[in-house]
Amino acid sequence: MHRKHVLAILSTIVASLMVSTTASFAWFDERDGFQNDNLTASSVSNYFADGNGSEEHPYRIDQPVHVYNLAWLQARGVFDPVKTYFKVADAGGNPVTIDFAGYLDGHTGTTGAIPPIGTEANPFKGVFDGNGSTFKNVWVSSNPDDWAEHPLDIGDTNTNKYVGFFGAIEQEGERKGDVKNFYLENIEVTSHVDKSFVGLIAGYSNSYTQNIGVKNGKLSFAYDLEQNYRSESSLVGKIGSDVYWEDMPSDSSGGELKIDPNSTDWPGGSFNTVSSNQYVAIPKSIEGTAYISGTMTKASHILKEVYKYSAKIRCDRNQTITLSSSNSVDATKNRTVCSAEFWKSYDNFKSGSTLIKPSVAPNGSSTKIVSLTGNRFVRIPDNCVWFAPQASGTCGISFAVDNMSSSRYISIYRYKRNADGSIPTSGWIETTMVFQKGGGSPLKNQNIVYYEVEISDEDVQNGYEYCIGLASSNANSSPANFFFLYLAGTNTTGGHVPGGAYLNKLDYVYKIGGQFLPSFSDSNYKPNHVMLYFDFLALEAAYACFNMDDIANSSTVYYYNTGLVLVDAIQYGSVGQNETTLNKFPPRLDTR
Amino acid sequence: MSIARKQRFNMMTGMVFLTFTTLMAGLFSTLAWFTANQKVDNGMNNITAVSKAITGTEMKAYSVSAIQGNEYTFVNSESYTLPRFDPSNIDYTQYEKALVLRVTFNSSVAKTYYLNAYTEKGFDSSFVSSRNESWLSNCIEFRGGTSDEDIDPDTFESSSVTAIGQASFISLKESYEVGEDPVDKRLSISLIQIDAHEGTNVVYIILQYNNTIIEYINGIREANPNPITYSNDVNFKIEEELPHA
Repeated sequence: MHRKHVLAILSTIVASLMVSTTASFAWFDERDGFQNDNLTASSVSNYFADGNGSEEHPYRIDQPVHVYNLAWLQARGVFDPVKTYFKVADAGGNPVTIDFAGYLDGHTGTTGAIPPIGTEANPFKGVFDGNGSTFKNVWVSSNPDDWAEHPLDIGDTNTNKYVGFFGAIEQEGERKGDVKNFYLENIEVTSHVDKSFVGLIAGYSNSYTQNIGVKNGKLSFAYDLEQNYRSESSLVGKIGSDVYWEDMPSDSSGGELKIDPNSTDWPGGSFNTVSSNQYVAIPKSIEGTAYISGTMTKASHILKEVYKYSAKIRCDRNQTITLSSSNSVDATKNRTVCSAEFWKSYDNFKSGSTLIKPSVAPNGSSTKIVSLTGNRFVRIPDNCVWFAPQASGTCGISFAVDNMSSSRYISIYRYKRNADGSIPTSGWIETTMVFQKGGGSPLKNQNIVYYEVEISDEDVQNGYEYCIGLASSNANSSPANFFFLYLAGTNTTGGHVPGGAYLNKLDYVYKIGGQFLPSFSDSNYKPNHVMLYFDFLALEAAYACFNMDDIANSSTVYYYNTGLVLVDAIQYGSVGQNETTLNKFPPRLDTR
Repeated sequence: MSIARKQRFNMMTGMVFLTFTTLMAGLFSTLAWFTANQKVDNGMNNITAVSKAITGTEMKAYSVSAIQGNEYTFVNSESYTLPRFDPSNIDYTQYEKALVLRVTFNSSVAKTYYLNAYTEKGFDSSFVSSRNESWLSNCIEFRGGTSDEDIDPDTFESSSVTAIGQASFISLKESYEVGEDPVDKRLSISLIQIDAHEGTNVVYIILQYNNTIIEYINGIREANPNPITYSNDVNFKIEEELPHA
């Protein structure tokens, strides 16, 4: 081989090695810099579409997962102690429809449930403005088995005793929960917690709750154990003692416990004297819970100054309460200390008010049988304004002193019915109000005295009943007159704290042409509210449906229930119509 | 074909053959060198053993089903995604926000090694606050893991490791000047010292979020509701020395 050829071969080998080695190192260098994308992580800086929770920049909600996030963050107390604002809207601020169908399914193919927003331990105290938006195909449950998607650690959220779209709405100082302006369409609320309070909108509300419409709602209850469930209405399970329901429908037989002698709802347009052998139902009251019986006389007077007794009273012991300048305030100079409902009646009738004057002290010996529907009856004491509170709260009770020529007296009695349903003839507790002539009393002729009387949960659970009538120890003295009673925290109208929170415009709605009706902003708006007041044991699958089928111009609320073994009767408004089949009920939940 | 042309043809053929064999030889020698250095991409990440005494390096990541104090229970479910960090732990997730990395290798001698981690990515708060992508090294921390259990990686259902120590590329400065980035970042850290014996060795590392840094990042991104995704930038090396600063 020529030298030339040898050199060529060697140079080729060297060049090839160079090329090969360079290529290999290039390949290796490339791998050395190679970053595998498989290992990843991520974090969330905001659980909502945007916003920071301030009033100016509320957290914006426009997806089902945002509602999920709100429910779980609230359950964990994340928003305490700051008042937090939420708004349901698209990026442009417009109302949205948040359809849960197909979401939160945990890859099961069936829409899962969310827990109620706000729990007993961490109630909602923020502002939730639905902005006219709709939550559709929502399933809310207190049963962890129903949460197809949930955090790894669910804590004790499953023990929530308030069950509804919102579980518990509460107020604390300046942090007054305010839940408003949205619709629930096709919603099911499921409870499995014994002695829980259940409502479609809220399990419990003790703060602002307003402008919320429900179309096609279902309440369902676990049946694996014999359990007790309660609801003071089908929309709100329990009404707190610091709120009142502002616009209870006038045609609801489950009416409010407001005893107003001047109300035009009385037969004849206002209260008229009841004779010794008569009784009369207090207008709009729940059947069997409020009557005037025996000799109770109509009086008429003009009304002047109003004094508010400073302390809250509990009728749990025999006591005498004497009004004086030192334990009262002139409410006519500071109207906020008395309820708006009171002032409504006072302002309308102060120039000529109807009052109720007792003339015989009530006791358990003289009673009257009151006939109820369905061949039922209740026995009540004679000669008094009688009422049996259905829920706890604070009563605003007021009396008028027409003539202060001498001291005046009137009493509030409390007793507990005997086991056989009879009224005890002894052991009544009497709270006597003394309207003293002189002696440090500010009272003059035609004054009004306003008292706040607290009725506790325990009082209600014990079944205490109350009478207002002539004081037993001053039977021969001139009585004061009953003017007005407004019971706070009942199942229909909660406690009105002056300037305080309230429930308003919570109703079943229809949908016609894609629009929910009636409109809450319509001046002719009239609630279609159905009172489903129940207390029952679930001995089998139990549920109640409320159909807001799209029936044009219908104000009928059809409802259907099954499996409810009632401890106490269902009460419902006259707009409610009980159905025996499910024909009028659309599928309760789209489970795509 | 003339004799001269035939000779030229033979020479060319020989050169092509030589070139091919030389290229192959070069390639194989490079691969042999690479194999000796045990750079393994096992589907998760590059891990390099920088020691000729080590062979058969392998690393796998497993989901963590429970964390109780320093005990991490992991299950036979390979995963290369840390479940999303959410400050209140409310996301729907099957597993805890941690991964257990199981590293195995053979050492021909009993020797002390270090498992070190490297990144080439720095940290810039202003960049992180405005973007929805970042790097894994910016959000995680490592913990060493010890275990007495000898598992078969193909058949085990669950096992547990006890976490020891903590190492992170990043930390918040205790004090800093106005305009200075409050985050300190190192580009290399040592995760665990391995007192290897001759034969097969198993090392566990726990990878989890650095809560302090994540909360800092979420804080500077308060106005940005979008999740931030962290891509892998971490290289692991089993070395005979601690990493150089």
